[in-house]
Amino acid sequence: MMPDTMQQLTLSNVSLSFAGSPILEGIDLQLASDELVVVVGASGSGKTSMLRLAAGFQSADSGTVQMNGHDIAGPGAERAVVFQDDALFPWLNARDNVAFPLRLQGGIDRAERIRRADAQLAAVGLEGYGTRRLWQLSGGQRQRVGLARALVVQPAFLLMDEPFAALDALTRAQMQVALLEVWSRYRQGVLFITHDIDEALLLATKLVVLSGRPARVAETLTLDYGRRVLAGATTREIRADPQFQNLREQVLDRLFLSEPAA
Amino acid sequence: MSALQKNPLRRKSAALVSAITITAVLIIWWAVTGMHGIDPLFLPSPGAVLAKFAEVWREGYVDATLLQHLAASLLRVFAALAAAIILGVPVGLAIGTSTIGRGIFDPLVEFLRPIPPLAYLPLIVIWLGIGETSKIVVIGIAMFSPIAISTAAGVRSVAPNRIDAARAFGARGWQLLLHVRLPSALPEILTGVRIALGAGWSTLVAAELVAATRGLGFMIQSAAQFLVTDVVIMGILVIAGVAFLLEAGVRLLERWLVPWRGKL
Ligand SMILES: Nc1ncnc2c1ncn2[C@@H]1O[C@H](COP(=O)(O)OP(=O)(O)OP(=O)(O)O)[C@@H](O)[C@H]1O
Ligand SMILES: [Mg+2]
Repeated sequence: MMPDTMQQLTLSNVSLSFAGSPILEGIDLQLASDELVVVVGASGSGKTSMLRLAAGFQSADSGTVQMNGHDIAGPGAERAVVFQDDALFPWLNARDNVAFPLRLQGGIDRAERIRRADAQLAAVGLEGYGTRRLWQLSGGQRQRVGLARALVVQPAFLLMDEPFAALDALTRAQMQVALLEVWSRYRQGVLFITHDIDEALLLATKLVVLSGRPARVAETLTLDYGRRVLAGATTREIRADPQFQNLREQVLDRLFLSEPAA
Repeated sequence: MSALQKNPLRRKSAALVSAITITAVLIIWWAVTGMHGIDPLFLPSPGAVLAKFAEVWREGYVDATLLQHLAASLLRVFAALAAAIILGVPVGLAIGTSTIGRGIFDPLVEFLRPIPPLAYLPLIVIWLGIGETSKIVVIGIAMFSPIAISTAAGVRSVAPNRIDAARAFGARGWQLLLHVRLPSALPEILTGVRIALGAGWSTLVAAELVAATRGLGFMIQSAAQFLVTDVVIMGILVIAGVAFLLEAGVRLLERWLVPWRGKL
């Protein structure tokens, strides 16, 4: 199920302001379809705004947002979005939530939609949960349903806005591993937003640090802790690694370098 | 949901207090009517009202049994409800989703909302005559605004993330409305239906003022003209009881149609 060709999502020299106050300035970001790019930044720094630009919900004041060299005109099925909460449909059960994008696409009969939705639920560890209603699922399980719904249309890119922020630490660690497994299997390009630095370091193949007001890219790091997690290392082991701790300090430095005193 | 509804012990004690209140009112009523000098024409005893209920149930009053009066009234109210939903939901959607829609319909809804039915009744009769239609229209007007307003509030309060997620999957215009906005607004729409049923039911007497031959409102008015106080009071109690049952019915419907309410 690997995307046929390498796809590229690119933000070039993008600036954005709300009501005259600049939020993002001169942002460059490249996301290829085998990368897991994580954006960290302080609260209110403009991470969500950046993801909304990439998703096509919002257009930039200046600069370009392109997919494979073409300007993005709006949201599209090749860029699926996963939010922290609220984005699932409570009137549908888990399976029908996952099948929803297929129904929109049209041309796929119901039996096939159910088959694909169930397969996708199984792929995120929710085999047999299809007929559950959303309130019969835990927060982590609901987040898995959201992930399955995003994956079912085999998008080229997965845009995730703090998807695990509302979860407890243990569930969160499990979801991080689940995401890495999904990503290594399908190799969709993932744009992952978080303000948790450990999470960012653990998941990223490329870590982008936003800092300042308006926010600019203060640092870009190439990492591969995710591969170590996939190879069987526990997140605790990795966190205890002195090199990991140095990186954390370095990112913290960059994050608050140009923050005005609040 | 309030803490009162969640806590079974508190709910039980609330029900107990209500039962005590009702019993107390009945006892006072019974005691007062037992006193000397209280004319049954002014206030008949609970027993007399109950006897009247049985009599009207079996033999009827003004050419129809109680059940037939009730059926006539319910039919009008439900016909009006159907019309109010068919018109009110789309109007509410228009108000809640488009600026033009809001510009057109908001003043209309706000204009109709506070007018008491007795005020527009003569106009409706002049326009539509004294037939069944005008009765349904009078009730329907009272129901229209609550449904339109609740629907508008419902579609406006849809979580933006829900809309955005659907848009990212390619949903546009009508699909968003049908698959996301409308079902998201369903809890509020049903609240609107509950309020509308209450409002419609309470305009019943007004609606049946003109040239009705059946209906609870008509029964009460006929009885009032001949000072048959026990039928008047019995009619009022039946109207109150049915209102209570309608409310309970919609709440059941809510639990069945929007089981996620209060849970997510
Ligand atoms: N629609 C909007 N209108 C006006 N200002 C906005 C809007 N959306 C965001 N902002 C402002 O833009 C800035 C960046 O917001 P954004 O949501 O992108 O931050 P964030 O990094 O995602 O924060 P958080 O970590 O708290 O989610 C904030 O100062 C916010 O107040
Ligand atoms: Mg945000």
